[in-house]
Amino acid sequence: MKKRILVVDDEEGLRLLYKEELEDEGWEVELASSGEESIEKLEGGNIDLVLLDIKMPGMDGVEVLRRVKERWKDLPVILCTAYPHYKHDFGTWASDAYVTKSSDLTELKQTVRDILGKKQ
Amino acid sequence: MEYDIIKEVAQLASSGPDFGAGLKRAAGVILEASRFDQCAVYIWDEEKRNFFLKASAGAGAMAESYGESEGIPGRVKETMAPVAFTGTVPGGRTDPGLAGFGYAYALPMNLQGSFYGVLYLKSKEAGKKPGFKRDAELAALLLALVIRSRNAEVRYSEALARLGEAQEWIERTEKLMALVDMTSSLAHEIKNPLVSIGGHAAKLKRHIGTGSDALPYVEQMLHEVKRVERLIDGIMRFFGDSGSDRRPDDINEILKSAVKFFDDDFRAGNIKLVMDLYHGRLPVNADREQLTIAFDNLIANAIQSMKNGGTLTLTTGVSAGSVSVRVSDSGGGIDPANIGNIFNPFFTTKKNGTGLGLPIANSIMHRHSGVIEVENEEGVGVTFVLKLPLAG
Repeated sequence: MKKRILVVDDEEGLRLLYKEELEDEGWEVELASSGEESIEKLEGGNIDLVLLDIKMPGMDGVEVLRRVKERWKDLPVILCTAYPHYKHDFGTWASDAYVTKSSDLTELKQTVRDILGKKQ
Repeated sequence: MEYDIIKEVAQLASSGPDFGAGLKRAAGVILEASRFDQCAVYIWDEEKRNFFLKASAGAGAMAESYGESEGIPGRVKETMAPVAFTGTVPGGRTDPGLAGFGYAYALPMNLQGSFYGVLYLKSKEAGKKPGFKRDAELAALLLALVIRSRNAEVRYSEALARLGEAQEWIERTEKLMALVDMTSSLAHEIKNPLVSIGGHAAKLKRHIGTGSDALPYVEQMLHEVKRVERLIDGIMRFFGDSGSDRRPDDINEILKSAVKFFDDDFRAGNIKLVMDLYHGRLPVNADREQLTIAFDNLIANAIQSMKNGGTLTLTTGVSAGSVSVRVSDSGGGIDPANIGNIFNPFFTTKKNGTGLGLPIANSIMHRHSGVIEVENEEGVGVTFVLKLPLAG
C-alpha cells in the first residue's frame, strides 16, 4: 500500500504544488489548510508522514508539532518554513527533519524519501 | 565695601551668556575697593594644565597665561595659599607680569578642595595696603563660587545637548526597527507565493518537454525566481533575529569544512588555495551554521573577485585574547570609492549580486561579539580579517 503524507500549509498554491510533486514521486497525499484541520485529519488515521508549515494563522506549526508528538509520538514530521535560519532551533528538537521552503523541491523530496524509505 | 563686592560679584553669577564681561566688571569693582593698580583673574584649565587671563581691570604689565608652576600664580597653586610679592618672587621664580610693580598679592580661588584659578592684585608702590586682605579673600571666594556655578551651567547645557542627540538616535533607531520589521514580514509574505510560482514553473518545464519553443521562456522564469529567492533568503538572514545557538567549537574545523564546498569552484576558476592554519585548536563560542555562512560569503566574494584565477589565502591565528581569520584574495582589491559602502545592505558591484553577502557576514560577526576589518590593497587584493573572542 502507498504511504500517505499529510501536507499542512495555509497557502493554496503550495498545497497544490506539494500534492502533485509528491504524488509524482509515488506517495499518496492528503491536504490540510490549517493547524486545526490537520489534527482532524490525523485523528482520521492512516497518515505516515506530516509535512508541516510553521507560520499559519490560528494554530501554528509549532503547536501542531507539539500535539502530534504528544499523541502520535512515532509519526514523523518535516517542518517546512520560509525562514532559512530557523533550521538550527527546530532541527535539534521535536521534528524529524527541517526543510527551508524553496522552489527547488529536490531537498524536500529527498527528505521524504529518507524518512518514508526508512520505515519500509 | 564688602557689600559692594558681594552684590556685584553675585550679580555676575546670573549675568547670562556674556560671562567674560561680567567678570571684567567684577574685577573693576575689586580693583576700586582694594585701591590696587591692577586686578587680574586667571582661570586654571585642568585639561591644558595652565592658567589663562580671563578678565582684568587697571593698567600695566600683564601675562596672558602661565604654566602650571610658572610665576606667582604657579606659586599660589603649589602652596594653595595667598602669595605676596615685595620685590622678589617667592620660590625663586620670575614673573613677567610684575614689571613696573612694587607690590603684589595673589590668592587661590578655591572652594571645598576645588581649585578654580588665581585672583592677582598688583600695586606700583612698594609696601602693603592696609586692611585689604580680608576683602580680597572674600572676593576670591565669591569668584570661585561664580566660576563653579558657571562650569556647572556649561556642563548642564552640554549634557542637555547630548541628551538631545541621544533622543534623536533613539528615534532614528525606532524608525529603523520598524523598517526592519516591515522588511522581514514583507520578505516572508513574498517567499510563499514565490516558491509556488517557481515550483509550478518547474512543473511546467517538465510538462512541455525539451523540444518545446516555449522552453526558454520557462527557463527565464525559473532563473528570475531563483534570483528573487536568493534575495529574500538573504534579507531574512540579515534582518531576522536568528536566536543563535553558540557552542564551544574550533575555528580551524569550521573553516576547513566551509572550504570543502568550494573545491569545484577553485578548480573551475583556476584558483590556488593556500591554508595557513594555526597549529593548535582555536576555541571559540560559535554558532557553527552561522559562522559557516559568514565564511561562505567571504570565500564566494574572493572567488568572484579573481575572474582570471589567483590565490586565496586563509590564515588563522591568535593574539591578545582574540582569534583571527584572514581571508585574502589576489583579485585586485576594492575601488576606494566603494570601500565605505561594502557593508551596506543591497550595495553591490556585481551584475547578479544581492548586496547582502558582506552585511550578513558582518551581522553574524556582531552576534558573536566579533568584528570584520578590511585591508584593501588597490591593484593587488583585499583581505578580510575576522576577529572573535577566544573562548576560555
